[in-house]
Amino acid sequence: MNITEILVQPQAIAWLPWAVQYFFYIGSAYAAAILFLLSYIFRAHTSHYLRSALVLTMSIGAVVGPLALTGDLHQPGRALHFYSNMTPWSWMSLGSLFLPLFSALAILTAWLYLRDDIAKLKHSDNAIAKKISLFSLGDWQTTSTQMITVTVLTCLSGLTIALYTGAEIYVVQSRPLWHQPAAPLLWFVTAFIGAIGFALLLLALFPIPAKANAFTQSDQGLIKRALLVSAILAAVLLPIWASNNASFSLYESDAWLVRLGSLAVSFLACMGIALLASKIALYNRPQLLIMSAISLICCWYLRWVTIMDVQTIAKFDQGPYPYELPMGSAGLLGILGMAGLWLALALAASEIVAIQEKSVKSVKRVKSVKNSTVSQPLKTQHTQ
Amino acid sequence: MDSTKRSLMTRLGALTVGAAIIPVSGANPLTTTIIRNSEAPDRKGQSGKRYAMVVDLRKCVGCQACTVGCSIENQAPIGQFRTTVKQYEVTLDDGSSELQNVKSFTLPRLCNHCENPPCVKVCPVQATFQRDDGIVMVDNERCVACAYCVQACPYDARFINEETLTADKCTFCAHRLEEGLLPACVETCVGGARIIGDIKDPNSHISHLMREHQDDIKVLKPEENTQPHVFYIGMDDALTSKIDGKVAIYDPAGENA
Repeated sequence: MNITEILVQPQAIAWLPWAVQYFFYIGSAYAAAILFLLSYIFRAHTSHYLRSALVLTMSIGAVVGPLALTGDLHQPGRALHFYSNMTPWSWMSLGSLFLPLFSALAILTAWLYLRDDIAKLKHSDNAIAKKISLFSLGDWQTTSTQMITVTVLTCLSGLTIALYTGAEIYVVQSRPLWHQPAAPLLWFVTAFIGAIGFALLLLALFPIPAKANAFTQSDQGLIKRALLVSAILAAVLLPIWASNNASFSLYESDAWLVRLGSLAVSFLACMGIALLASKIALYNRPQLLIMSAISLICCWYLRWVTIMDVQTIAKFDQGPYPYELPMGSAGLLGILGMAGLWLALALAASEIVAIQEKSVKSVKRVKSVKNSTVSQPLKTQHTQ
Repeated sequence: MDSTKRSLMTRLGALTVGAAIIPVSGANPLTTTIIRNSEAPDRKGQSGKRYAMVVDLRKCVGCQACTVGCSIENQAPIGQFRTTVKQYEVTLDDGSSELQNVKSFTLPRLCNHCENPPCVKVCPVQATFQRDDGIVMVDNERCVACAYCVQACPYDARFINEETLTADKCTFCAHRLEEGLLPACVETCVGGARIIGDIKDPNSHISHLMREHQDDIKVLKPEENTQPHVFYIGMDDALTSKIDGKVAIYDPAGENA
């Protein structure tokens, strides 16, 4: 039987680009939480710079993500309905509990970790910086037990975010490309690519003079391993994800071949920069920006394809349903706005680290210890 | 790509690594647990009944009177529809003498008021619910318009209403049924193709029809385990699940434009 569609009403895209932004920022936040925990456990080997970049990636993503999420509600003013009508069998409802908890813990972790840096702002000549120093809330020392406890809790909370965001799409049986374990796994592994991308961007925002001597080989090792492992896993998962549907084939669509090909190339590019990571000087701003852009684009585009492009696949008819990115707040403006918000918060927060670090007169450049077996951690209060 | 190649590629994908994880998706408890959310007194509807619709495709001429009738009755925004009639052009390639005989196939679509509605179980605020009489409704004063139900519906029966900015769908015209009236689409159907009624009442017209045509009753996407309650008479299996057909042209381009 030959069937040709004559009159078929296309279904509008229901989850807007806001959803992509949410999963992008919150993914980078929970992945950064895990990487921060690792870097803090091995704080004798990692630098304060990298840890600061990771903790800020985590906390800024945990603030920007939920804002993007409320944008995806067509009735953001009714967000309170989530709490007046708790629904334990709906993953989205569980998410409304998990998400504020994670955001709060992420901010608490970042504050605890950066407290000493905030306190040191009182020595600054800048009147505003002096006022900000009051946010350290006293002169008490943050103990490593406090740090570890809060960071582990934040990590566990981050895992609930990974679980609920993944389960949220996994239970949608009507979309075979979501209703498979490969979909949430792809999101999880690429979240680390996003976290590294944002951390590299933050490193690029920190001022250059103090950075030259601030990094350790372990920093580069962490970036390299996180990027390499997640890019390889993502490259393995992508064809599984794309093949795992019974009623249609993505491979017969030129548009999908281009999308899957672009994703494969972006994973390869991430592997490439991961392999180069040990050769790249982490204080070199152009190199950092290039590495950051590649990994952020990779992480973001995967979410765009798995959320927006998947929605153009018709559930019943042949489709695809047309979608064009609007220029307004439901489209490009929203994407740029969220990126702008992230950048603004990052610029402001990086000053806390930056101002303190300018006073550090430190050790050898990382290049000079490249062949040494002993890492050169930066001297901070957290490394003792 | 021809259909042989296509199915081979699909099977290859499933046979390789995909096959290892398919059983996991089959064990999802959320697809088997039925949630209705009809405990509140104002969510009962007409207890004791179970409304359903039969669409006799042999009588549908694709005039879209139901589409218009529904739009007038329920005031959905222009371009958004609670019900509509999809139209397909069908030819046979089985070597029969009717090879060149092009026929039009019309398929009225609306909410299936499933017995196991996937939209109800994903709603994070319990705004969507199923009344005791089987009608799936949306409390649009509670709805946060997260569009999760729109994603979960395998029939694309739901949409976010551009004017109310909440989830919207066919209600079987519950407000009319309660007054003893027929839904607008049933009322306007020129061929009498749409029949609504209580399937719990053995003497209702719909129960008679379903008994009479029990071998020719089909539902859309039976494999989804949603147990739809819109039943079609005169349906071909090629059109019950995802349609393998040629694409409608949304944006003419290229040399054939």
